[in-house]
Amino acid sequence: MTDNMEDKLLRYVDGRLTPAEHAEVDAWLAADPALAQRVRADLADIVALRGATAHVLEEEIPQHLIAAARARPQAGRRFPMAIAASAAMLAIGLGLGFTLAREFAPPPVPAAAAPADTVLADIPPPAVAAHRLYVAEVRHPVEVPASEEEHLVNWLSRRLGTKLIVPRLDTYGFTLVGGRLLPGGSGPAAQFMYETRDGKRLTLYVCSETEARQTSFRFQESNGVSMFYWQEGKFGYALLSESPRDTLLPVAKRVYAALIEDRKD
Amino acid sequence: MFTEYAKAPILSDPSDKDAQARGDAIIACLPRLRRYARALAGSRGQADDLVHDTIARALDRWHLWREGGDLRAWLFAIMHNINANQARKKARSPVTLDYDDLRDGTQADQHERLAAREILDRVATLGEDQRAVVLLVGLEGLAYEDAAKILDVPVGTVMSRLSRARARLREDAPRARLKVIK
Repeated sequence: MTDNMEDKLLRYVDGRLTPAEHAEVDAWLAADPALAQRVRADLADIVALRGATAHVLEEEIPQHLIAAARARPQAGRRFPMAIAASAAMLAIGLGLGFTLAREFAPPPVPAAAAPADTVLADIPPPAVAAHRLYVAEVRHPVEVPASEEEHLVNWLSRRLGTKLIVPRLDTYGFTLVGGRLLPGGSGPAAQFMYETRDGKRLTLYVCSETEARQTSFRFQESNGVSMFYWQEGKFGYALLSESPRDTLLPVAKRVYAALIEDRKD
Repeated sequence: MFTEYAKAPILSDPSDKDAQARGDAIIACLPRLRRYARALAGSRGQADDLVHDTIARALDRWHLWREGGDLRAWLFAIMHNINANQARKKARSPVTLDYDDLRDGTQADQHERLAAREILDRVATLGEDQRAVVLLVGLEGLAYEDAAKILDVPVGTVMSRLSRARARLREDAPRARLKVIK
């Protein structure tokens, strides 16, 4: 079967053909009992699915949902509302056992900052666990909200012992939700969460490392969760989301560049 | 991105200044959100938790809502993302469906009840991505383009997932039932 035929059969089942196309598919079905059987099965499933759930539309809506819908939205945030569409798919995944590890050329690193040898960063496992845990959290995804960004940054900077910066990712559709303090592999770690206007999330994880070094930029993916990670001096960074690699890459480069720019100031 | 929706089937035009209108607009979306959630989550309790979380997150992010867009599509997208986040957390445990509400809420006879259970069972065994397109297109009757915006994937991806999902549903269909269909 050609892609075009498959496409038309789908549209036939969903009632999205022109009358001429519809007649064309009718002719196929008349000539091919197996194809006709297939279409009947698809239509029967749709009818059964609608029938199986139709009663939900008639149910009285629970009072707690009515009350939730009438609640006041949170007070305005400090962040600009200019949110671009984002193709990033973000969520979480089962982060156990990374199976795919690909390396690619690191973005340009200022010569002065680069040591003689570029080594591979270690995977920061707590970053994955923290991502998985908190992106699924609807009501309390962060400890300190973005409305208290200055406090958030100062507090986490103190705990990690470096001046943290929170890159602006608004041009990629992500605004800061807030952040939290976490236990890292070797000391405290910070997690910043970002979100698109329709709720897709991204986390940036920063942890202190025992040994200062400069690593390449690495990518790993498992169970739909993408992670870029690298180490810069005494700190490890990881950016995680459910986006495909190519979608997350420009965001990761922006984060990397923002951190570097800040070092130069 | 949701300002692109040309069709706004349910929507009124809520604004922060008009809490009553905002509440009404959300409430108008609730029957279909609840139906979608029920097919997605299985039990009534889990489904309404998902709807509640969706409303809460929408209100948290209300400052990002653009007036004149398709509120229902936006709420579906939020629900989809919350469910994807939570489903992965629970991915190792089998989906369980609670059929009590089927018995409570319908006068369907025994045969129809079994048919309802049977299709929900088959849909529940699909992967998250395939289940979403089957429900958005088949149950909600959305255009492929609108489903693509909600899922944030290309239209071609929606169609290929739908094609695979339906093939899987056909494979899993009980043979006896297929013969009955005229």
